[in-house]
Amino acid sequence: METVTSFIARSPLIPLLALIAICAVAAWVVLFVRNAPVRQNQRAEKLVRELAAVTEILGRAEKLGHFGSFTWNFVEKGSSYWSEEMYVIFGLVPRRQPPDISIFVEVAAPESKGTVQEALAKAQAQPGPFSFTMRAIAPDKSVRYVRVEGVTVLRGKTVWHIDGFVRDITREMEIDRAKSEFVTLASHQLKTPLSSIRWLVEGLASGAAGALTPTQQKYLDGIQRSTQHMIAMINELLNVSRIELDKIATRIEEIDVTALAKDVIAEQQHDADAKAITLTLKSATDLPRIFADKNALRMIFQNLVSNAIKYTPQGGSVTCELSETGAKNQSVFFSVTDTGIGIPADEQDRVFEKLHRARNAQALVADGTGLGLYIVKTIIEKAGGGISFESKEGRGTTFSVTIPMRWRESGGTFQLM
Amino acid sequence: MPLRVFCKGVLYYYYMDAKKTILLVEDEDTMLFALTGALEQAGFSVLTATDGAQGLALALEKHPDLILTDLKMPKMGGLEMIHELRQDDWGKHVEIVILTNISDVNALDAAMKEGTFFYMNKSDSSMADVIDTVRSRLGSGHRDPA
Repeated sequence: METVTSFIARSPLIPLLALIAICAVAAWVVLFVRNAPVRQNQRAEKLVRELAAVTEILGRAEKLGHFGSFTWNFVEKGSSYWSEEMYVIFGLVPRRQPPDISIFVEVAAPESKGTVQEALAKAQAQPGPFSFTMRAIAPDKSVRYVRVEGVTVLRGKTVWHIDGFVRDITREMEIDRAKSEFVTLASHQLKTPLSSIRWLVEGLASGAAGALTPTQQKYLDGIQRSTQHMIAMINELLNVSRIELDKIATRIEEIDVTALAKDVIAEQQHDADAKAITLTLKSATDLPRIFADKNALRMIFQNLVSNAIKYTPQGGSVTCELSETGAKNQSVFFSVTDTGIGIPADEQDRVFEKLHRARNAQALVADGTGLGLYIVKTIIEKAGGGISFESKEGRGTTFSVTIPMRWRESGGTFQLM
Repeated sequence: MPLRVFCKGVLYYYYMDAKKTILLVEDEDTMLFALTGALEQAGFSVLTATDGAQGLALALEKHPDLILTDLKMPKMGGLEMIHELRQDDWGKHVEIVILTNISDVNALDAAMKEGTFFYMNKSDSSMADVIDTVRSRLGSGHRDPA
């Protein structure tokens, strides 16, 4: 045993083996270093292949889903990117120009240009999500409805870039339109038999077909109220569907707002009296005459005042106020403050939603379409004004409307009902 | 001279007292029934037609004091009937009230151009509204007696 170990210790093989090992390591290191670019290349090629595959999958997904993605860098414009489908959606295929944010405005239909410019300016000014819907006209004149959603990202304090995607919603818009057209047609058809019912019941109630017993009279009163209610609901449905189809005609005329508000309040006095509600109008004395659609403005006043009365308990108060507002006095301000049930905090962002009615409103007044405020908001915004509110549940609500002194015209053909 | 004035007065009194005739042009049976009943009860004598062509013929034959017409009807619509009526010497001046559920401002504008100055929306009007309107239009003296 000893001889074996001493032989190994003394053998010249040991340094030789060590030398070979050192050489091998050195050779490996040299080769490793020399091959590094090749390996990097291979890795890069693999990444490129993967990226190409992902891009292709994304491209196919974008094609199937009719959406395109983009990124717009405000600082390093060269790193901005538009996916192929972006060009397809805007009808700019084959790619006619490098990606640019100004293309959104270029392809927007005349009536959409303002919205697009406004939205993009806002996106550039403040970080966070943004979205807008536009009608786009391609160079070949084909029309698409496009929804744009994005997010503005800061780097430090600089607005750095926008990431987002656009979706071709033409098909959805067509379906929505068909639905609105159906609602219009159906409600319109319902009106004729309803008018007949109303008149026949009025005839019966007036004793035209013979004297009525008090019980019969009571039954008829019920039918009459329900008929009126149904007519009112159908009118609201017609208004909503026509507003959505852009078929409401605005007739701009010179109006005395104070007189109109007084008129509406006089109409509602009866309902207020029935609940012992104090209904008042405070009006600035020298309000200028405005150029607006009388029918639409009347409807706005009526909706807000009747809502206030409806949702204010016995003995409360409803106070309306009219004044001039805005820079250079470009609008009239109308507000309705009530001491009513208020809007629950967690439902406040849904107040103007179509068909939405707050829990406490439903509990207090069973019937109601949830269309009134939606109609009011749509009308006033189309006219170039706005509506907002402040409310505390159990304390009351104030709705405020900014009425432009000169309303925007719209090209529909139907009157508001 | 006083006799002539007296006769005129009697005639005028008699004319005022006579039942006014309303021509009702409406294609919907139930509606026609409801309107006829109410107008007769209100003291008018009522003629009825169920389309524009019939309405036109009846109007030219009987010269009613007022025509209450729907717009959308088979054969001949209300607008066309009004247009035809306005070609006639008598029809030029007859008082016409449109009673319809159509709220298309273009159709209503067209009616206004034909010299119809009053339009009522069916579903927004109570029977009392209709009768009030008929009475006020008859008393409005807009018609040229020529």
